[in-house]
Amino acid sequence: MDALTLSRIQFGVSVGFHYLLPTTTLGLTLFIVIFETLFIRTKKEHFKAASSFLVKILGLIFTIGVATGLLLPFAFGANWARFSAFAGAIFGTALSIEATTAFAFESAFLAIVIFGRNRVSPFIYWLSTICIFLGSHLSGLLIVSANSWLQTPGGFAIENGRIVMTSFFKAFINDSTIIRYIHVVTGAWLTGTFFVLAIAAYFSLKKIHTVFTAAVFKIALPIALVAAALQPLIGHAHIMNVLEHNPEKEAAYEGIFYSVDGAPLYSFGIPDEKNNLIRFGIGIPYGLSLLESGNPKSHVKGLLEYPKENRPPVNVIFTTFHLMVMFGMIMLCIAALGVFLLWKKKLAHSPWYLAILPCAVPIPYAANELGWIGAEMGRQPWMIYNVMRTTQASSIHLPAWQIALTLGGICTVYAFLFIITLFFLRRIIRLGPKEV
Amino acid sequence: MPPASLQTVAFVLIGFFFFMYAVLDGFDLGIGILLPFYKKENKAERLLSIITPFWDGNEVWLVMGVGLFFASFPLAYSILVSSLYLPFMVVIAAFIVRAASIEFSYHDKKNIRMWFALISIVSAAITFLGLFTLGLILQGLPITREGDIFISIRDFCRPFPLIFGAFGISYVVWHSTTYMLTKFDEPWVRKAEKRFWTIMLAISAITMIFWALTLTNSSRHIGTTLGAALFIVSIVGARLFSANPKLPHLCSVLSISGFFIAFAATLFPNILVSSLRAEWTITLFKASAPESSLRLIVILIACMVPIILGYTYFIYRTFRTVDSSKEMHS
Repeated sequence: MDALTLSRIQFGVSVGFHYLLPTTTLGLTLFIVIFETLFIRTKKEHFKAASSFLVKILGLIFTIGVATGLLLPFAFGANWARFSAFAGAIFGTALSIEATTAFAFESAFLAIVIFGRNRVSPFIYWLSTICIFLGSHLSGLLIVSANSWLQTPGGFAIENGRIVMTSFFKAFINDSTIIRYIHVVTGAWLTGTFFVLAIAAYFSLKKIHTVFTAAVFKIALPIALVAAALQPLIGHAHIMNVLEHNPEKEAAYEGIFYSVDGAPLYSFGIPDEKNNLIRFGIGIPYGLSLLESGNPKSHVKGLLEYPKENRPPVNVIFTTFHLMVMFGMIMLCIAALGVFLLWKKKLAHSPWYLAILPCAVPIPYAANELGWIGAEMGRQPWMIYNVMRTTQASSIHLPAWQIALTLGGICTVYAFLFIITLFFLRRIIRLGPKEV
Repeated sequence: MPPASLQTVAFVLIGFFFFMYAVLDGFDLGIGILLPFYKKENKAERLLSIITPFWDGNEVWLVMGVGLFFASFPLAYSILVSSLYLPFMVVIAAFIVRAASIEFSYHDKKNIRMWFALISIVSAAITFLGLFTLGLILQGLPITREGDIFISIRDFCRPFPLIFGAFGISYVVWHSTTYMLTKFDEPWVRKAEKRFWTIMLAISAITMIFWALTLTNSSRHIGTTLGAALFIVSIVGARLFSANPKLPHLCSVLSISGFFIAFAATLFPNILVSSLRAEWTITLFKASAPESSLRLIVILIACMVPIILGYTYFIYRTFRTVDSSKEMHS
């Protein structure tokens, strides 16, 4: 394999693994803030116990997240040296701002949240949980903003063969930052929600920690339902944004090869790139035209109208996109069912439902990962959309064998990390929240 | 502000971040290295408890330094990291393993000695390779006219970077014992401080001789001398004032600042020195980001630094007394 392919795989593995962790962090900090706020308002000890329990999990997840995140700024310089030298003015600036504003802030207050409960007043403790919530969400915003700049670059000019920032605002709040951020954060909150729901369901099945489980179900199930119901609408707004700014990506998402009036909306299919068609396609006739413009007969531009060298790989992104949508729908069904059972007060008597929840944990993670793969593969063949190709971005003199070596090392270390982290996660969960 | 002084400010800020990182994570690394050697009376657990609330946050100074380096000198950053690919990747792997091992050691009391051994190995690797890299930068890298570096195994086997690496290990170990002294003023800590001070002094002397030999006319600079003087005075001061449990640590912080002043002065105004030809050396001005973004990032970060120092102080104040290990993980 050549160096470029290896670098791409390595970056994919590094980010793909890392992405499991901050999404969990964002979701967990949401619940920690909720429980701390309830505690400070009602002074009920079980809210404090619930928050302390989630903080313990957060400590583990956050540390592994920081550790795996450390690789990424180095990875840009190491494997993507030409990109880093070319676009450092904006991309490096984004990473630098993220570190100094968000990352430093959340790391500092995390120390209070994890180790300082008995050392600060309840009010300062509560404020610290707000700080880690805000810090981690600001961190997410800056990273998503840097990613969005690759998808929809703005606020720049090219002078002497490199990027010059012309407008800070247009670079960081570029055409897709806001909608992408809302989509990512909703995904992260869904992840955190399904994560705590799974723990509560596990306790509920074992009939332990009943106060904790009751509180979690009452808070998390409605959040899950609202988030899962909003996510398709947010996703649709995101798609409209992609259609406007990265039209060939949208054509590939939907599997539209030939321009057509009244395009169907596929919900299933297997792309055949050789023959430019979707095999076994099941979909809603006129659906895509209707969604994109409100008119079922409207014209949809097909992928083949774009030059071959600018087309993203349909196979991967059609498949990941549709799987993501499917997982999103499954989450919506699970959440709706849960809220229904909660409303009818039948939750505790529905062991089948409680058994579904722990099994459902991988679903939000899979949806996050698939959405990310679709977004990044859909950006191909560009590193920076319409500005720099991925083939021009890699380090020139980095030999393939070195990347193969580090890729092997990263996979080994991450495999161990994954297994050991799950092992200790299980241990923390088994210990459970403190009984009050 | 004219652009030339912008780059200088960025250079100083990066130096400040690395200095803060060395001071703060320095004692985490030193304690990490020492952990497996304290087997009795829960000494290792007590040592771990004095870095527990801080080490994760201390690492952030490195990330901030690297981020600012990337943003302000993207050309130098990408050349350096991509040409020293394998050493950098080993350092990052060591950071990942360290973070995981410290975290896992909280949850796994049964195998805590194994985690301590792992923390020690990777802490030593981080320190050695970190200083090794600084040594390589100081000595100069084979940078060609096109700004490429074709580095070979031979470049890695030169004595100066290797001595720098050894110096790093001896220094952080001593530095961590001065930090230990501020928390536990006990005979075993005093003994360790004294012993590691002697070792550090010997290796520092060798390092300084080699450093003086690498200096050329162009890099000989009054700042280097001043930094070296501060370094020497401070480590001697640490011995003289060792009756007070806080002063040796303060002296160590000062001597680290002396080291960074000497380092920065030797390098300035270059950022990557070419060992092949003087005119192929990459200067701050050649490597710098365009003015618009450089101005933004320098102003923003200069404003952020006092804020970060403020809450860092708050965190250190909150945890200034030593926790019993029971409170820590209850």
